[in-house]
Amino acid sequence: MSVAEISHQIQSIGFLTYIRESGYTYPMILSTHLATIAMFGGLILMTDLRILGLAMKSTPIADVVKTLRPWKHLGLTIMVAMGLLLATSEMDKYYGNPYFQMKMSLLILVIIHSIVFRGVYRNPEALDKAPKIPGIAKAAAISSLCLWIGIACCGRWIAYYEPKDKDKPVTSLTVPAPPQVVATR
Amino acid sequence: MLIYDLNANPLNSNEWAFPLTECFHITSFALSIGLIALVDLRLLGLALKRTNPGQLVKDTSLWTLAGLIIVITSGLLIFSSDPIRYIYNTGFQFKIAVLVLAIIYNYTIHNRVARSNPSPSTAKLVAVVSLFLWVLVPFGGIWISFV
Repeated sequence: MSVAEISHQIQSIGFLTYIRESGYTYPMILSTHLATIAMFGGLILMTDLRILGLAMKSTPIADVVKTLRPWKHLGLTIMVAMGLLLATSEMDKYYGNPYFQMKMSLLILVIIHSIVFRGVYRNPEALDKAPKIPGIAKAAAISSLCLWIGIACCGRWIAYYEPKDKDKPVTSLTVPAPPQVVATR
Repeated sequence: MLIYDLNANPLNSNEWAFPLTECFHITSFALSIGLIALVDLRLLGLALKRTNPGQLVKDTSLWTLAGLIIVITSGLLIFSSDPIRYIYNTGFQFKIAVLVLAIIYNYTIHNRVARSNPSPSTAKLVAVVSLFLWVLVPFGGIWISFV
């Protein structure tokens, strides 16, 4: 099976077809996706700004990192769940979209980021005790800012990609030609 | 009569301008609404309990304001790409109504209560109203494309 066929199979699953063809469910899911970006994306930006010493200096880094963690996890879960529904319900259009591919690659980098910098986030007390914010913590914060802003931008750009004829989604290629009616007398 | 040529607007003629403006719009609303939500989490007693809510408002106010300025500026630019369409769009009308309400609420009741060592029940009520108002804004925004 080709990627195109697999994508088409995915979006043909009953409830995904329903989402795609619905009048209100699709925008509701999209709005929820965006609202979680507003609520919880800001917490990610803020944590990074705090680690960089650019905001909320009167609050210890450990407090910011630890007390916001469950809320960021909740936000991320809702955001990813809604994002999955949006993408899989239009898989034909999405799989070949370079901005979608870029966004997914950046999300994989976010996972790698959390592994590489786990020392920074697991022991934020050390950052408060340190006389100066260590370079590795700054690197973690700056790369996190870049990744998440990049993800938001790629997400927006998905809507602006128009496939060339040869890359058209599989549905438009598999529409059967109308049967030729040959007039006979 | 004022004649406004939509095609002269760079947002309509340059293929990068519109999505780039939207990126600024999204990133800055994540910052501003996220910071207001942060204060709300504190008012609800769900995060940063060791920091005073008033102190939190003070510490975040500059970034919240910066976010709001960028989000409104980029929003006005997007609006300029097709003003007539937006003015008559019910999603847009709803969004602007809630946005104005949310901003007024934030800079009057919300921040004043946060600075005044409120009782837990007052703090919670104020936070819930704030979260509700701000969630409605992106919902209205998405609705613009679907009404």
